[in-house]
Amino acid sequence: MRNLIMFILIVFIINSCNNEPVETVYAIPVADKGVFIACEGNFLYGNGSLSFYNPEKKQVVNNIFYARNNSPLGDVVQSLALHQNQLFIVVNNSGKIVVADASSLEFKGVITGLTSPRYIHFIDDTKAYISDLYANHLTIFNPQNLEVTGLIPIKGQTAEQMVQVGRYLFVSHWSYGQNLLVIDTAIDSLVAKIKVPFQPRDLAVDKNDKVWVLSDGGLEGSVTGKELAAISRVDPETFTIEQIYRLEEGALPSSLKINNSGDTIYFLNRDVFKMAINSRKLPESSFIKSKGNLFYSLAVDPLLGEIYVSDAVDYTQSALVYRFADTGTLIDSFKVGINPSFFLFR
Amino acid sequence: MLTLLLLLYITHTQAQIVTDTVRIGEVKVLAKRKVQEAGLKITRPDSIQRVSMLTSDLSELIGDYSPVFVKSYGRGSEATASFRGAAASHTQVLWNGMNLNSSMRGIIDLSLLPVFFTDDVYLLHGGSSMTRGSGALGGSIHLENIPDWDTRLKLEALGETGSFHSRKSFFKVNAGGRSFQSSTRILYESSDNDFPYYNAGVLPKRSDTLSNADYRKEGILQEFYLRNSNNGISGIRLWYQNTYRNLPQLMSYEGSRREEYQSDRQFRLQYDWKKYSDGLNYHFFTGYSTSRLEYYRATPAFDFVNEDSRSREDGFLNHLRIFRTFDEKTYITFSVDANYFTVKADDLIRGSGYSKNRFETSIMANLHLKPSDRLAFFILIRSENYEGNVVPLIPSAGLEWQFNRNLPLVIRSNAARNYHKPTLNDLYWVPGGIPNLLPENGFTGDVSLEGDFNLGVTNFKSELTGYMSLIDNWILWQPSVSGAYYWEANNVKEVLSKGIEYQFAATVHLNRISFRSGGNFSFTAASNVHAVKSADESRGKQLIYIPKHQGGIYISLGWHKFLMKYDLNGVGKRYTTSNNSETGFEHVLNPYVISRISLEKEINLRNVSLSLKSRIENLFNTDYQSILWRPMPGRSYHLTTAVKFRKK
Repeated sequence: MRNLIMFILIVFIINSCNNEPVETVYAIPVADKGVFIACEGNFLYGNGSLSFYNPEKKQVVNNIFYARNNSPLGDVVQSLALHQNQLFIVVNNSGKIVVADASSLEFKGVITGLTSPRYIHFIDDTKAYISDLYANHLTIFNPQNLEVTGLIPIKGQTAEQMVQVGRYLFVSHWSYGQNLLVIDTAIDSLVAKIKVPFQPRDLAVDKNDKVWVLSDGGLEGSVTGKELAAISRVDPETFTIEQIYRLEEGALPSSLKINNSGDTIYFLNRDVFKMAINSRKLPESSFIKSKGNLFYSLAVDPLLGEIYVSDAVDYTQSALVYRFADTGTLIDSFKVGINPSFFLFR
Repeated sequence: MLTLLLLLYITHTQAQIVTDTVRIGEVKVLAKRKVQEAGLKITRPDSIQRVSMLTSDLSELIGDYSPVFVKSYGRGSEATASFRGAAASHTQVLWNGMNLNSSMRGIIDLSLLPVFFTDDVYLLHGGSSMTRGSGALGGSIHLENIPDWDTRLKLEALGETGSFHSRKSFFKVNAGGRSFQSSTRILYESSDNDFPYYNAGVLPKRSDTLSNADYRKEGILQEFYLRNSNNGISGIRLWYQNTYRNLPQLMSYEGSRREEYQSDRQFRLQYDWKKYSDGLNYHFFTGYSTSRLEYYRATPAFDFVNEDSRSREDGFLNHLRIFRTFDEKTYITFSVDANYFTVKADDLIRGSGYSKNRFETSIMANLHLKPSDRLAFFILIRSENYEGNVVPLIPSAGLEWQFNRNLPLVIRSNAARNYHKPTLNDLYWVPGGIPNLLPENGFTGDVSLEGDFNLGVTNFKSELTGYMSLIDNWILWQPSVSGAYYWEANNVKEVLSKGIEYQFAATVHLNRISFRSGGNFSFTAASNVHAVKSADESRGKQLIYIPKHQGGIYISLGWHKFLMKYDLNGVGKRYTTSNNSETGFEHVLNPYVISRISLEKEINLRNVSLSLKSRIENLFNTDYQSILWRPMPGRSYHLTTAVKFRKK
């Protein structure tokens, strides 16, 4: 009996010891040129990830941040930004921005204390802005030391995407919003707002420095009402809308992008559509058909003009990314993480 | 593992054949079973299991002592049950026959159902659930309250204190006589739930303490029963419960502190009338069930409230069952249900929401026959109507046969068709509800082999079941197919589920030592067979969060009012991606095995009994995750004291 008790005690003690697993670090084959792809993962699963695609070799590496640092990025990897070979990874529902070396993917630091960060815009080497879905301000931080240096109140509105023309930053107020907010980057202050079609989300700047705005029009059944979705062109000097292109009933466009020469916009509306910036009307037919696939996001290579479109498949498995030439010819397709939402070319 | 179990089963059976043939000749297994239960696949946690979990909630009792998988977000957090690979909404929970599932969400949170508020708990698997209601494509859980007519006065008080600043108090008073009984049960439970864990979800990795996970539950269940000389029993039951839970963030969260909570308030009222006679018997109840749910999320530092939603559900449920038993060989039932539900959901931030009601009716006819002590079967047919939609006739049938009079083995089989109506959220939620969703349509069948062996001081019961089910038009919420940023409900999957359930219970009484053991094991292969696109790798792959393997075993030793019990429960690998990706670094939840040990001493002094119990949960401090990136507690210690007074 005594031996039995001793045996049980020994088993108990051995099992109680906390064995830290041996940490293994993988070398990440990230080329100088290529595409970082932010994969959102699933909301509240904490399974967002980062992929890298080398277009020259047609090679993709997935989960590169986890592989290098043995830790996940977090919940909903929303967007990416690159500054001085530092990769800023916006992890929306983890309330943080993770910073990694853009070549080795080694973890360099983290900006914490946010709530629902969406995008980053760099003003200069010491100043950058963060938009937030659940805050009535933009956050200012210093990319050198990752310290939050200030806030820009936006008067009860929230911020989504940001583009800059000259000293002015144009910010879309997407969630239940109707304005394009104008921030003077010299004084870090909201100076104007431009009323645009309901729920402006995506922004792009063309070769003439005009700001293009994609508004999704809101939701059916919402008390705020539902408008037809629209694409608008805004003059950043006069802060006025020059043209509104209304989409058809039932359209839910997303992913407005501009091509490498700045003369053509692309967007998703189940299929891929393209339109010359000087067109007077929306295209009548799509440029690339989805053929039953769930096109989730779109990007255009700023150098080559190639089009990248992600297919979420069923939203809970590795997604597909299609790479098309600017003619619409398929060049390659490859698998990445779950729900790829943002492409960063370098 | 399965082979081992089968071998054990066969070896045991073969040993038994020889012994029984020599010793007793004819054995009666099916003969002991009530005719109205013949052919049904029932799991009933035994009394020691239920009593040992008296201070816990139903998710722990079901999760540990049945083949049903319980998906839990952690201590005190939402927990739902999945039978045979089906969804949480395919598990129906009935309290004294009254359905408790949310008409809005379809599911029920088992963590809100205290074991202390029940007198009997049993499970009906697959098609067997059709005898009590429809919609349980996986199975149903039944909670019963039973009056104790032999007691004049019974007082019971339990107090538990445990790790992570946890306290539980339970009181029960039964009073009355042979014609009137009153039972009052009260519970109060709270926990800071601030357990330490190793946070591998952030960099640098560190030891952390779970925050904003505290919870509080309080409830009262009052029952009155009146028995008259005409074998009629009337009962009124009132159940009020209030639960407040703060909701913790995922391990990777490093944002500004969030204030996030959920408050659930439920009130249930039931009038129940039963009339027994040699001829027709009647059971009628009418009930009212209301629940309020409040969900709030804010970032106080930013002075920003991003979620503040309220919902109210009211249900009026009515049931009449007329049944008759002929010579314990024939049992006929006819039942009618008429239920009315109203729902109001409001998003106070955005001003959106919906308000809807639904009237549902159901009729059922059921015949059980036991032509001999070795053969029984049942047939059942049910018809349903909701919002003008008539669900086609849904049949169910079962058979039970003791194929050899000298062998204590029974073969049981049943097959059924079943439907599950879309929930009101599926149809009307703004945004994403689709009013023309089809009901989920299922076929299910199972075959069981049950043995009940008595060998001197040993009793060994064992049951092995194989099942298969197909559920078409499976409703799933996923990002809108139109490319919008909101989620919507759709009939997207056809799920084929196949598997095995095994349960055993053994008792040995030797002088003053009583030894008990029980266990269960389930193998579940559930996959989507409706993956159309070529890029979709989910076809034939295991559904997410459904383990293929799950099991538990316990042993208990009783001696001189001492009771020592050891529980071991294991859950197999669970996938979190539909294509079962294992190449990623965070896609698979690893299998885990956790143990519980308890030691109890009871002292009896005439009408009073005292007991003191100490319990260690997660004995070996296993680090595991039940849900991706949600920490689970390590080893914890609990002390329970109980005082009972009973006057007959």
